[in-house]
Amino acid sequence: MQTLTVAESGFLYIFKCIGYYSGGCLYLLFYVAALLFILLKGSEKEKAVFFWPGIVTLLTVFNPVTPVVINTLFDINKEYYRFLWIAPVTLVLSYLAAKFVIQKETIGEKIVLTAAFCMILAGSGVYLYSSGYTKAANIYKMPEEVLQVANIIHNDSDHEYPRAVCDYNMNMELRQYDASIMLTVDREAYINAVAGKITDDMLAYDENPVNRILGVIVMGRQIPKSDFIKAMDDSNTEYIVLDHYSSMQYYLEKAGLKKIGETGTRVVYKYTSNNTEVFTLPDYSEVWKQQKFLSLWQN
Amino acid sequence: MLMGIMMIPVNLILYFIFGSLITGRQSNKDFSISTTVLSGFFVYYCLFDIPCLVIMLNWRPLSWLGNLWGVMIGIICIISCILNHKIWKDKFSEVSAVLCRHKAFAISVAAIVLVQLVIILNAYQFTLDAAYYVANVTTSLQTNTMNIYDPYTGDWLNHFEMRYLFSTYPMNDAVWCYLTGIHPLLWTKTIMAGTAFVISNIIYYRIALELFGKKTSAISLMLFFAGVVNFFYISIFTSSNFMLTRTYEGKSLIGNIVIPMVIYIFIKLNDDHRKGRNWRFLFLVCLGSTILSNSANMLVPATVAVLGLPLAVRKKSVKVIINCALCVIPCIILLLAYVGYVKGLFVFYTYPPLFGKH
Repeated sequence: MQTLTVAESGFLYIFKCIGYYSGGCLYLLFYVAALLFILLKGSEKEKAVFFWPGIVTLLTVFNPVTPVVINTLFDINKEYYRFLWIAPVTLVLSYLAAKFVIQKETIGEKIVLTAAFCMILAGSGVYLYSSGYTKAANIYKMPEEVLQVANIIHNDSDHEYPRAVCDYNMNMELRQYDASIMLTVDREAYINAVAGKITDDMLAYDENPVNRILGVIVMGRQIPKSDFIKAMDDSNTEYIVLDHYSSMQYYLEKAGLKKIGETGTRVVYKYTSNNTEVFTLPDYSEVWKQQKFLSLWQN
Repeated sequence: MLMGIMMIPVNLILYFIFGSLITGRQSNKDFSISTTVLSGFFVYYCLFDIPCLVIMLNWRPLSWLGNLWGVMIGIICIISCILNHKIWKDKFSEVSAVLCRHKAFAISVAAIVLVQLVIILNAYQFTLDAAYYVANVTTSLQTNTMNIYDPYTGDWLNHFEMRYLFSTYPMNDAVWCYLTGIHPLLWTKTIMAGTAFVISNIIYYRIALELFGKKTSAISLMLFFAGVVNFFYISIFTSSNFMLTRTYEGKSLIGNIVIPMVIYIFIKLNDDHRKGRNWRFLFLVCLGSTILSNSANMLVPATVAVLGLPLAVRKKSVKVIINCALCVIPCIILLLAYVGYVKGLFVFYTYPPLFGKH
């Protein structure tokens, strides 16, 4: 929950947190209803297993005071939702549904009730693939273009660890497939750029070259080309991968970058500079030589 | 791909072998294949953490750990086979006979789990967190190191990030990729996703068994409804969503394996809160959870407290509270260590200070 903070929301934090957590699902309400049912109609074992722990959960985890108190000790803003996992919603709902169904005597009644529960659960929840089921394109579960872009960069590069900046999705997926491609921009910086948090001042005066590159390729800012080239040099960036429809292709070409390859929806640009420092892995062999314990084992 | 799919049962068999080291000491009547797999899952990660931390904190290569762990697995498997082959033989004959008597149950449970597996393992998901967790495995394999490079960019880190240092779950993924040659994407997004999903369903099965006894149709139904709930209880924050899309993150295992596991153990404790075996099992789960994810250090004590408090009151037993406190000690120690790190009290460098790299 990137945008929700205890400092801003105070005692309302928990309600907003539950709202975000539930999304369009009513299952937490069903869970509370299930606890009430168990209180009224449940066996002693059901009360012991689900009701009393459920009540303690509601009084503690779902208590508006709890996140405020914990936040004085730890920064809990982004992670508090994980405490809501303690409420065993899946277990309680599936248990009660199964219990109701098996209490019916005929097969017909059981089928009807099962179907009814399925409809209720489906109707009051959000389906995992509600925005469509996308079958994985390959065993890597990566778009084919990730593989193709990695190939284009490696075929062009004369060293083992070339460095690139890519469009948002490609930037998040490329190193999952091929960790020998370095990325100039990490996740947080990229999210900030996408959220429009890079200001004109940052572009004009900021010493951080990453902001300038993001300003160009994410925000479409036409900063002076000399500034952009300096940012490419300072960050040792050699490749830029853009969406085919990016309006900044002309800008990159004017800045001296060369198109070296294309895939279905991506264009790969190369920046050639004499100032690029090629990345190499730090050498740990000297460390190992001087260590006693494990060096003996190594020998 | 076929090798990948085959690794799901291989993982489960490995957990079974590891778990037998503990559950094999029980009588034949108490020995359960499903509980053994569940125990083994936690025993496996507890044992893996020891060589992993030693080698990582000495800046040694992943290949060292891979080779060492490969040998250790071999030795543990041989020991477990020697110690447990008789109880395995007896139990498998018994379970085969039970499954033959309850064919409809066996087929329905297998179908419920397999259908869900096929759906989730064939789906493409874009999630931002994979840029860290999966890339961490890929980076470790590529650089033959552990947690020394920033998974987002590939740049060298001057110190180990404490959030991930003791949670070595991704390093086990990297070790298996090293040992088998399987790509980290296939390992994390298919093999471990499938393995975690099956384990999660084994826990549902155990809980259903505790609640419904031997009513097999009720157990099948509960597993079916659990599947329905999971597929429809979706926002980016729910544990169901984590289980179906993001098992490469240790915290997903906390929400879908550790917390249900703690609930299962408390169901057992509810029947007999004096039984030492259940408390030892709870300790194992709490200890193992710290290796899966740093999130466990807060979530697991909270879960144990929420379940332990009513049990202590109902049983009028202070010992329940003491036992709960003892079980979560590993989580509390690591939580305090993390606080110390955040407050700047200490740091583990990725290079010895005398070499002057930082």
